[in-house]
Amino acid sequence: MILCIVCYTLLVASSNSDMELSKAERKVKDMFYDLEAISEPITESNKLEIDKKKIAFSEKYFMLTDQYAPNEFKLLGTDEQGYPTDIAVRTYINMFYDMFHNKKMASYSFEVSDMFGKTLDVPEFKKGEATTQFAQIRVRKVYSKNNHPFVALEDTLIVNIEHMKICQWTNKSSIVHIGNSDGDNLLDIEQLKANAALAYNRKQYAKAYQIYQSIIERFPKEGDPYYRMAVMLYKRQSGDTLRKKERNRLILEYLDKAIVYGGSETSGCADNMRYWITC
Amino acid sequence: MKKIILFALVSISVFQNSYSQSYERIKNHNLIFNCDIASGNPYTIAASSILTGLTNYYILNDAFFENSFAYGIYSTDTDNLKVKTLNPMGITARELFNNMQVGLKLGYQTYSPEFFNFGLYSSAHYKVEQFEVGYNDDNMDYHRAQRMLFGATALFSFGNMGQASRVIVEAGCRYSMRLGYTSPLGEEKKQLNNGLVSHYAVKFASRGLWQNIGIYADINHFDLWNDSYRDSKLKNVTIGITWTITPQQADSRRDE
Repeated sequence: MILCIVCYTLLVASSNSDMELSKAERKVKDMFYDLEAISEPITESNKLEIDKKKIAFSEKYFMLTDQYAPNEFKLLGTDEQGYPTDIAVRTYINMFYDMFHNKKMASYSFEVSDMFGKTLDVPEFKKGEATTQFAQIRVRKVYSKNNHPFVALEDTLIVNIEHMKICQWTNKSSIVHIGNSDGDNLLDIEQLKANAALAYNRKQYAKAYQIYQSIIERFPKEGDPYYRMAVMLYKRQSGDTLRKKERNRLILEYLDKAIVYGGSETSGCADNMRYWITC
Repeated sequence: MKKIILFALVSISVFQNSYSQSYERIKNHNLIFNCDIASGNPYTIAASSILTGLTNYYILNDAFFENSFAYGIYSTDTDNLKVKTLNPMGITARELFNNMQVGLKLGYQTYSPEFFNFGLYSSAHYKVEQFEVGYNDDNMDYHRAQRMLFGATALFSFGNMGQASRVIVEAGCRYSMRLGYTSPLGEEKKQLNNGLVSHYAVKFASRGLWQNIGIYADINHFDLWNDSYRDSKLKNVTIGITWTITPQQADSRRDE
């Protein structure tokens, strides 16, 4: 009887997880369908539809409006502005649109060739709490010129299951928000962050702090953990053995690093916190 | 001439810290310990802002002094009896020290990175008010009231540390104790009543230009005049704008 209940619970949990994954895959598919539609030649009948898709793109699929997208246009040789780093999604969609509809750059085409995903499992979830937080979807896409494929890329997208929106988007052209990490590192970072968040929510502060420390040891240019550690130190949830002077020095040091290495949101939060505690 | 003086004072206040530096450290914001200075005269409060801003920056490296421009509103229950404050733009000694209030605040507040924080402080203020009373503008009598205000105020702060701004709401109660009163009837302090004053403030703490600025109101819930001296009742409300020049504010101005 007990065995049946356990099997049933596992089955339900597994099917829930599969459903979430398929929803996340659907979301990413829709996004790339929209990109394919935007890349189509403009006619009188589809012009309005393309404009609508272009305008709604950022809000429809992404957690944040100022989120980063990979600047693959550098690889394609169509980045006329010469953006040095990753670009905002809004900028991405404008550059993507220009690439296909600017007469100077005509003859480009775009298609998605393959897609596969998996959930980022968090092994430390307690029984009954097993909600998947993220799904990782990999997408292979090909840019062609005069119908000859010339750049193939594999994008890695992380979907926040709860909001069913994309929270990370990278490929080999990405350089900022996950450092020089490839898809596997991104998976590691998200996994570790999820573990740290879980530990924090369970009030296991020492463990959460330790996980954040392990993240920055492996990925010293990842900004978010610095900010989290600074907050934990300020709230005295960690670093009990530290003397006040050392604690304060660490808080400021971590906030400075979060300002430098964090994404726009983390960097802004760290900068604001630095102001409030020193003003 | 007056406008030039005011312009010069405000300009100095704005640029006073152009060449200065502050040292940066994490401060103890849990302790509330501030000195309040309020005046009904813009020249006085501009000069006070300069001096206290310099002190905050160079000597204390903390936002210890707060300044306010206060305006007293008086009303009576007797028809045609007018009560008005002295000319706020005047530069006589009386006018420069019109509606002055100086005091200390001492208390504790939570200061965590979360959205909601709160605190409680006690305060003691000395207040001197000067106004004119009469039935026609050409024949007004000079009055001066001096009192101490003791009380407690609760404050509620909304906005987490990740945000650039936060709103602070204050509500409190103070007991007004008479110290002295001067009028044509003499200098007997019993002309003035004791009573309760409620205090309300909304402050906007931000990193931008309007940082640490707010509005407040002190509402007297009693008749200022003692019945045995006058038949009329005198009510008073003080409204004001309050601000603090912080060391970081000075630094950011220098950086700009």
